[in-house]
Amino acid sequence: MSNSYSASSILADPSGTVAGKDIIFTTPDRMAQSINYSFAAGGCHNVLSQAYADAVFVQDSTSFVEMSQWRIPLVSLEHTELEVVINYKLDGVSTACNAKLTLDVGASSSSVTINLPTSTNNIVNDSINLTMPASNEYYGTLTIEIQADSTTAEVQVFSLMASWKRINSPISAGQKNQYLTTEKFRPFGTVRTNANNALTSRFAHNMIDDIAILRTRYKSYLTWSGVYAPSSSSSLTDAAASAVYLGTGDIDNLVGFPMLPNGWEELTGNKLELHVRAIGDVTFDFMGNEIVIDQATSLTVGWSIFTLEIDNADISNIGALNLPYYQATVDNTSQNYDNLAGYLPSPFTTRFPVVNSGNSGAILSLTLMGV
Amino acid sequence: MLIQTAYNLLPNKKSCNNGAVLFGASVSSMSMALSQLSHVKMLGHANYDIMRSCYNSFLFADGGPGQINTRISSSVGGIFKGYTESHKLMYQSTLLSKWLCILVGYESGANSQDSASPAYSPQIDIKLNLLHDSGSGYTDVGTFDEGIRLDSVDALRQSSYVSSDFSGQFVASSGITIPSSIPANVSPVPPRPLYIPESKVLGSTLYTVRGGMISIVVSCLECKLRSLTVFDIYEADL
Repeated sequence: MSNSYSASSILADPSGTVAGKDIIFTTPDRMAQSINYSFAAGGCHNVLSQAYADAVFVQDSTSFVEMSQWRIPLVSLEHTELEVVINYKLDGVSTACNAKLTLDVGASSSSVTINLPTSTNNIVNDSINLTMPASNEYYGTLTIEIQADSTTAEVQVFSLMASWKRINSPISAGQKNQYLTTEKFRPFGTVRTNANNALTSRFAHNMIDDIAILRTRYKSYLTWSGVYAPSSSSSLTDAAASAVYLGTGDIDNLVGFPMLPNGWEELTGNKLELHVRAIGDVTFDFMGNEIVIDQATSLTVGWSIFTLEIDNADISNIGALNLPYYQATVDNTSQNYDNLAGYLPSPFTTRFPVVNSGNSGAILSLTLMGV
Repeated sequence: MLIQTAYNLLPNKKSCNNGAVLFGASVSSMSMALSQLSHVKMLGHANYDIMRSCYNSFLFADGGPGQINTRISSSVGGIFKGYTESHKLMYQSTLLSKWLCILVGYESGANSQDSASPAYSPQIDIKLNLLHDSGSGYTDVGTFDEGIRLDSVDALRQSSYVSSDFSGQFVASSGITIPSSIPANVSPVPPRPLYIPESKVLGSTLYTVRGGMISIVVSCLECKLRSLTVFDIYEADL
């Protein structure tokens, strides 16, 4: 029995299955391939995307320095290889420059170090292979550290992305876990869906369960992290002046587009989540929701998770894309002008990772993910 | 067949029990839910924010800190006549990616700020390159869609059309109207969705493109890219 799929053979024509017509074998066969495809490949596009202008994401330290941190959704507990692609260049010539990426999922952690050897613009990639913990998980935390070579060579990153590698056909035998260790996704053996095989009750029960599970798969809609500790010996006055904190200039400008089809609101479980990394406490407005971060102390650095409630009719202001994409952004409210980093009443002049009263209440990272 | 966008109600499992007469509608409902999963929910999508320097010469000159570690204005400014920049943004296409819609957030120059050369002509070219990994990491092996040009003739706005002093972020799009034929242009054309072929000869080698890693190459003239969002286009009838 092979849990195989082919992307060219996953559409079963429902007009061939109306009452009064025979169910031809190709219909369940394509349904089996379709559910295998959606489990193996669905959601394996970008989970992290961020880009930088010149001299913004820049580092000259000879030891590793934490530069950014993001939350990313998992595809499933079976997808264990995260590919990272970095577009960069060195200002100078050295073989000692590296990017180290660490992925934490629950109690599990894994990292990869990618050498950055080229002084001209170049693209490098590698994968983080993670052994998933034996617990319920649906997101991970990805941290990037950069090591340069002092004045010999600085590292500039222009763009980076991450995506989970899809499971190639066929999916290995056995039941699979999406996010819950108690919830079983059952891939379909396509040999059993050949002609002259039984169409059983179990086929339908398993298919209905599998569809319900895959409808809860998360996708990433907006990933943003400040660049925490840029450093450069460049004489350019605007070098190494990244956005460390979410600010008032991001209002209506930092935008993601979650897709919320009809019936989405009827799905069970978590649907649209905002993950925020902040220093201490802060309250701000995002996509029509008031986000109240309340941490242990005013200097605690941590992630908080919020479920967003969406008034579909009220915020449906992006059209002509064929699908119901909605605009998610930092709202244009007086509370945001008061509470997000800005110039008035006083700017956050302390730069993370230093934490003190000069940056308490600052937002370091933000991810919007949803099913 | 028509691809529904909504999450339909799934059949009651009791209707599929042993001994129950299985009607076509149950199978139809399941197959439509599956097509919605693969061709709607799981469509590819990426969303890039382009971070800019937050150095503020005005505040620095005013006695304040020049580096305030955040963006305080919707405008990044610094756009002059002849200004150019380029970006490479990576997109992991899906096995079903075929036509891409691209939304760009951009900031353009204010022509009233430059009386010596008032005619700003902001322009954004977008094309698609393939990144291929033959075992030693990705290499850009060439362009498979020469792409589109957004300009002030049919897509881009200049900031002075809205405000003479401060710019903001505007949005332009490739559109979602799928052309009647596969594009074969050798230079940028007016906005249309970008195309990912199943395979393409680049150089003298045949590469699988669909499902591969794509480099979205963006070249800007007299404007700055602030964000880029790419979607696999939903096709209602397949």
